[in-house]
Amino acid sequence: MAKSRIHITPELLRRYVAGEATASEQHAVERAALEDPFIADALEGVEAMAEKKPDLKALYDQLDNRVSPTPILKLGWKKWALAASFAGLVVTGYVLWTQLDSPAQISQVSAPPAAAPSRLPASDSLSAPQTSQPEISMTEQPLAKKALAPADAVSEDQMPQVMAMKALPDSPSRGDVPALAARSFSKPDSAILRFQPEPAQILAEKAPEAKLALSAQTARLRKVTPDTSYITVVNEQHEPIAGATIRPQRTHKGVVTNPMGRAIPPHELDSSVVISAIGYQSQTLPTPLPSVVTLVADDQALTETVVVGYGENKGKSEAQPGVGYAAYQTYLKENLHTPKPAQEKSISGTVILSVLVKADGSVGEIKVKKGLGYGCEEEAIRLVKKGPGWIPARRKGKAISSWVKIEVPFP
Amino acid sequence: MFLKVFRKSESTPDESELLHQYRQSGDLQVLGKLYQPHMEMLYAVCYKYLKDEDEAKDAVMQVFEEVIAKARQHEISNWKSWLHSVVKNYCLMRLRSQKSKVQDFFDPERMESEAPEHLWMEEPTQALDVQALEKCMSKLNPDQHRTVSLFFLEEKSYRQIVDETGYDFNQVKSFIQNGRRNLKLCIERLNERLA
Repeated sequence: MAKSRIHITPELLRRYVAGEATASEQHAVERAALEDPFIADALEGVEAMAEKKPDLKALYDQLDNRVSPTPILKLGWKKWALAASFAGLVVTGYVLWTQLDSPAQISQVSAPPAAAPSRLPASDSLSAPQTSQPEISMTEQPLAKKALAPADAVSEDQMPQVMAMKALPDSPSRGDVPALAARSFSKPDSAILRFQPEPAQILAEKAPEAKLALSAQTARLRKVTPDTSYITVVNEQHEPIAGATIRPQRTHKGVVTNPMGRAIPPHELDSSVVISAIGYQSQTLPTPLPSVVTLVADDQALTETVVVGYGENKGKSEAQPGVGYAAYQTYLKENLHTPKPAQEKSISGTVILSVLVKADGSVGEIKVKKGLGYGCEEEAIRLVKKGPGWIPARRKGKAISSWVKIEVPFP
Repeated sequence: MFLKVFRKSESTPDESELLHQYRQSGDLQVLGKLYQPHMEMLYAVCYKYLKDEDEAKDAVMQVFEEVIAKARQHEISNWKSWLHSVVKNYCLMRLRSQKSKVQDFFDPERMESEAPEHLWMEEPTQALDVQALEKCMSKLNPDQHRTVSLFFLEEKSYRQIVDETGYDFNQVKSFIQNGRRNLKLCIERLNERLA
């Protein structure tokens, strides 16, 4: 029955699964699956795929790329270089952006309800008097602080409202708008309640361009921490110090600066605040704190660490052979006589005994934990019984009896 | 014909030659030539274990990376089944690290398979004695005897055997698998006694 063997291809497996294979093909597949676990596995895989015919073009290309010599390798290297430089660019960009951009931003956003209206009128459509700006922000300052937590949400909700005003051509009088805005903001809660449902509608109907401006504004608002009260800790080179601690002198609760060297001090401050960082001299400053604190590097502040070990070693020791473990092992090895039956069966392995070492150093009871048979245990026990004496275990300086584990190897 | 019940595939001469070449040169293109023809089958195996198209594709490429190193370290007598074991081990490792998709881990198919789970290769087939085979055949139970002879002697497909005997499809499958294993064990025992 020298039938030509049908070659098993993935294609054939697919046809088999789909029930399109001829009887002899079916037989070939089944037989191959019986003999070759590879084909059996692949068949199951094809069954699991069901109807999906895999598109392996990409896979073949990938393999081609992988195996083709140098050019690809070079490109691979370039790709990494490119990626690395791009990553570098992004990081520097981000650092620069946060460092340059944020201080200015923050002062504007610090009191979102107040600053926002004061800023908007300044833009072309409403030429509010510039002089009103400081006033508004001044009056709103304390309130803004109180509303700090919801500030983010508030600012988002209020923005559209301001925008909406901007979009309404018949708003009372130009000069009044900022004032009006400021008034409504002076009750932030009610303002939110009142204006929440409106903005989207108004925006959609009347001010498409305002919408654009709005999204830009909110985006900016979100990126900046809405708080002026943070302070920055820097070293003499004006580099930020991360992990510096700022804490009121009389408490132990403080805050730690972030990688930008910034932290928002605790709300209730003492009259003086301690600012410290590892490797710098601590400073004690009176409140209110300046926005930037410079710490002076201190070599001595970085003292050597002394590691102290605690342990109890007094009068506690485990049982051990009087001659030491190494010598004991040698004794076992040299005096071991593999019993005849074990020799005949060429037994090898390890007998493990549990041995009671009495307080006087003599060997007491012996238990076999793991045996090999053929007289090996007896031989191991004989060795231990005849062997050198033991130093008993000690607890609180007193010799006590204890169990030790002894392994006797049979080669 | 019946002697071939337990035939085992060797690496094709081409493959051995290419493998030798790769081991000497480390040329990835040579390895690619060796790997590529089996990729679709390997993909199917990966799919069986991972049950996801992208993961299976990824696995096929990852295994290639493993093969790059391993093909030079290990003695490989049967390239195809060696590849299979590498892929399988890779997939199982991956599943073990995920733990989430393991429901299928102890499927009965795997439990009854006598496939070597290690990278070492099977010993060459012993010459089978026709007499021994006949003797062992007669020891099989009637179900196994019937299905095994239909399958191996008359080269019927499972489907045809189902139609002919009226057994269930899975029954047929397991009769044949178990019958084959019993035969193998029986023959091994006979050979041992002779040796």
